[in-house]
Amino acid sequence: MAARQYVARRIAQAILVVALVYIIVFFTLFVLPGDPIENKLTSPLNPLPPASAEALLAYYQLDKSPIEQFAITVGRLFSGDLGYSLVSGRPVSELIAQGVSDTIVLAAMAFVFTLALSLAIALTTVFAPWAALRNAAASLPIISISTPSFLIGFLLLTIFSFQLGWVSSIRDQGLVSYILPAATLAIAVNGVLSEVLIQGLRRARAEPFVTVLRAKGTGEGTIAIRHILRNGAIPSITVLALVVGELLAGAVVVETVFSRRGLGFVTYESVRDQDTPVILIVVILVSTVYVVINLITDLLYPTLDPRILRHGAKPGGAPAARPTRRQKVTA
Amino acid sequence: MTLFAPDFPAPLVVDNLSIGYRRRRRGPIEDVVRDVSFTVPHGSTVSLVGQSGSGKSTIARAVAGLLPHNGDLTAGSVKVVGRDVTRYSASEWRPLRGSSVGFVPQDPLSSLDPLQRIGVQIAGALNQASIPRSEIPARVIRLLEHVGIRDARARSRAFPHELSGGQLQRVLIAIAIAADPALLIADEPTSALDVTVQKRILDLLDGLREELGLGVLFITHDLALAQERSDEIVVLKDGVVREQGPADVVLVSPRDPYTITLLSDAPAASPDRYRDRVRQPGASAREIVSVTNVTKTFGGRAKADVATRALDDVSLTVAEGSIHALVGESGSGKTTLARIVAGLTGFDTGTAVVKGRELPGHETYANPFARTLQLVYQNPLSAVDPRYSVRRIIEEPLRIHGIGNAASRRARVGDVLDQVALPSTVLGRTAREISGGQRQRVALARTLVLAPDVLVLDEPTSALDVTVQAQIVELLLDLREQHNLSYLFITHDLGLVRQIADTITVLRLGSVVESGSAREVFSNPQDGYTRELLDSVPRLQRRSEDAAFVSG
Amino acid sequence: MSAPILAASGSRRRSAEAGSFRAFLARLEPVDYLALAVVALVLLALLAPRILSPYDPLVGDDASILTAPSLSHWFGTDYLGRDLLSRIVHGTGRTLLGSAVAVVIGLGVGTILGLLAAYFGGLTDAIISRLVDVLLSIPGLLLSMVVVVALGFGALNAAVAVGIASIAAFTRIMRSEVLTVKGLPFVEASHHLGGKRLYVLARHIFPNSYSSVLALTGLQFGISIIWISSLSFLGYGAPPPQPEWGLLVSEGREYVVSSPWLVVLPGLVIAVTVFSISRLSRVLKEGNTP
Repeated sequence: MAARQYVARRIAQAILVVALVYIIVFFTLFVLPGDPIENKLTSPLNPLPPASAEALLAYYQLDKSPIEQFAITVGRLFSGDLGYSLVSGRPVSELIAQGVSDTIVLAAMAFVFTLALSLAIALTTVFAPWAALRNAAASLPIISISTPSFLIGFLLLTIFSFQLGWVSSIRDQGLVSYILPAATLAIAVNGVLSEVLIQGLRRARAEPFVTVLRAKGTGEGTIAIRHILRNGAIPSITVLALVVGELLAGAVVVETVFSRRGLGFVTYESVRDQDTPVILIVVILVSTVYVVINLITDLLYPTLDPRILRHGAKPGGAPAARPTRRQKVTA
Repeated sequence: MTLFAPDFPAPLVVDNLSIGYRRRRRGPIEDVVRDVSFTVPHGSTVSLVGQSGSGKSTIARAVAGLLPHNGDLTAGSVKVVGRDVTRYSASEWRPLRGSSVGFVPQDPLSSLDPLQRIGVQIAGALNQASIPRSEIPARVIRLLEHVGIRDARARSRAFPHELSGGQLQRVLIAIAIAADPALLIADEPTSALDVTVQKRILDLLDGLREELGLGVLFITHDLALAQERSDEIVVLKDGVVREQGPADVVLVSPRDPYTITLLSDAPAASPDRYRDRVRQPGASAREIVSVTNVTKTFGGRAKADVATRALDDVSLTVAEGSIHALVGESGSGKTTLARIVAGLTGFDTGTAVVKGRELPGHETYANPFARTLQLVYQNPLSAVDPRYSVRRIIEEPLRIHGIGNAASRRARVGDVLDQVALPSTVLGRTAREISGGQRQRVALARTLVLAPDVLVLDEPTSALDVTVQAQIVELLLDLREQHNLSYLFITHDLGLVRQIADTITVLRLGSVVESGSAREVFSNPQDGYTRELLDSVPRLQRRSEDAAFVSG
Repeated sequence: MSAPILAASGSRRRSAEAGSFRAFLARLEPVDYLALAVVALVLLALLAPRILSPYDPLVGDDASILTAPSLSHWFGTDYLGRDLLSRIVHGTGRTLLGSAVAVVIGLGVGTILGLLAAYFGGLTDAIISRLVDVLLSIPGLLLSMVVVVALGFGALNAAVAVGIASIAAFTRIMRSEVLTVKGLPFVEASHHLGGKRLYVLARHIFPNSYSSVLALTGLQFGISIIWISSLSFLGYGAPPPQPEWGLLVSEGREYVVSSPWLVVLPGLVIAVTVFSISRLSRVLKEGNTP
């Protein structure tokens, strides 16, 4: 009963955050500096035909007060109308739909690469038998964080497409075409996850229970994988949402580097053209993904760590043990 | 050892063993244990006794093959059940683990994998012992029953956090004996447990030793415990054996000066050490602290069903100039009561009066009673700002209260430093840069600088070695005489209470079970729980002619 | 976004001595000396670009267009024959000053918000924490794009946008540090000795919370460099022809097949600079943990 209440509260909180994102981004983009939509639509540089511009001016009802505009936009949102691009005049939903599948595949592949890479780096850093290898692996997370994704992208492109010719930079080769951009994202984004995993593994390895396991004759491999990895990896699930968010934001740069036409490219163009209705929807989409993943990992936490269940079931309030754990990792 | 022929080799033979650590990678190995020899025969217990840094735990780890990577055996030999394991690698050790050597760790709360059910963890030990898979579940239940876990079948499905410290230590003992070892290594197995639980766990270990003919290597800092529980004792200091022999010889008539000091410093060995300084409660003495019918509930009063009652209708009084001991096990509410008296925690009903002024009953930010009553924390390191030098720490109360000018404050700090017998060289250091005993002296100096009337001492010596503890206790007694201080002394160490307390209150689960003059409570306890508590405290058997020597 | 995680690890005990410069030097590993040298070079490029740059960054040499790195042009030349090394050196100022502006905004606003949230608690904390949740739910780079759209393109606006996008990270770490320190026994002890709230806040809580925030500052400075150069790379930041690190990469894009150094070398300069700064701020942080 109490657990169900907790789940309901967490869901309500997540919805509130998405709603607040919408409100803040809407007012930042639509209202704050002058009349961006009007300026854009009436600008002589806009490629949009004058008739469409007129229609969109009428559609956005810019003569109304900001609050009224907001109400109208939200009303349309609930009826499935995401607005229209100020540059092409096409519905935002259409633009998004066009790019989203490509980016989902890219992000999914990049996510898998990120997990694999982080795991490899963390396990090497903590368990590799040679100190030199451990130290080398330990410096990879900072390198990952310090290297801009466009550099990684161009390096991979230069080496594997231009020099070695393994992957075409122009032809669409299905899934193969995703490998380089996905690898670029994974290399650029894994730093945080690797770092949290390394810290988790180091902490778990120092726990007294490892001595007891050793003393009862458990093999080192079993200790490392079944016990240290399981205990040490739990905190890192709290950064998964962050990783996915960074992957989606990174797609803006990476799709530009690799000339792909996904959601990232749509974002790039809409920012370039100050096409605010498109930007608004992209941001909401990305932040919803972040919030949902965060919600899922939060609700999943108790099933992974039995110590949390007790607190999660406590009536009236967030679990006592969880905030401290999360603080350790993310705060 | 003579009972067993060579085909029954002793569980453990340690011969001229030296152990060293590499402090830096590729640095030289520095010996921390030198030239230690002893034998653990079947069915008997050998205790390694010493203060922190004596090398006792290092020896335990080394003979169990559990030294960290930077540690190594540098000389001598270790034989486990006749096998020379001195140069064993990790893979050579593995078949011995469980089946030859069982290990009982110090801290039961973090010694089991929190993500695995305890049954699975015991089964893990059985797996190593090549017991048929089909028999394992039944063996797990039998083991749990063997170590005295009730409702074993249900308990085997529990996660470690669902068990108490005592139960966890039983589970760890079950793991240690699962594969029928000949040798059990117990590294301070009860130092994290309450005294009544400690007694039950040690009784269990003793029973198993007799029943299974185990050799037990017992590591402890508690001399009384060592004497009570072992056949032979090895006294260590700085990695060197100072004295060894049968328990009732070494501790009854010690020859080494270090053993003699240790014994005289151990409260259990010299209950009358401060006899002439203990004051009998006189009828005339004024009450300086009085707590009347105080009740404290955590978790809010609105939801009475989920709230836990920390203190239930508790009363106590501290007479001026006396030491009142507040005694109880974990969960007794003694720390809550101490914090209430110190004004750090509010309470629901009742009254608390300190030197004629009633406490507000709710938490306040700046303590209005600072110059009357001060709390001395259990861990002085965490109770002082890590960025502050000792001078600033001691001077801070004067600054807060705007007392004196820079020069007079400096002089006052110097005075107080003398009173707690600290050299002025510590003034420029931070708390991390001085020793544990010095830190507690600094903490005392900080409270004394305001010249309070009452000190609430929350386990002020529990983190210290006995010798340092004895020095702090001595200092506390001196300070009381010089400044007519009154102490509310919170502790779980009944030996210490017996030495210094004038009056005593025994708490259990938030209620007072007994109170009165310390002498009466100790000689003639009225309550069943008090009796159990006193029975659980290990005692040192001394020859009567030595008693005079110790208290003199 | 990643910096708070990296800055938060480790405990908070620290001694006065550990903070000294000599102690800092003693902790340096060989890599860190390289990092120190890189930071020194970057500072020199920032303060006196002319010393390091052999050519005029804006004037090209028609005789050497798109030449590969050589002795006369260490980093090669671009499509107008301009010396790439000189352009990188002269671009240092824009990139680094931009990051400085961003960090000052993030640090200033974030520290105050975090302190307010932790100090007042209750409704103030709830509002600020919710705001932080909202800001954190938008990846930093994307958030700075939103702000840059609202403010308009340009070097300064990109810097401000990155600063706004990093407020949440600073708020969060400040809040949690203050809350942690507030719960430590020595803070209670100071109250117990008679210390009033403001006294304890100023003398104990704030000084003990701040060094984690400073560690984050170093890391966030590096991340700001990456975000700002990403924004310029996408064309939202500093306009050409003035050099800026991200912009140089973007300008080199069209020649990436024939002249990869135009993209790779400025990119590497960014990476090496950020790596050095992160490395050093980590050494600083480790000095604050025993």
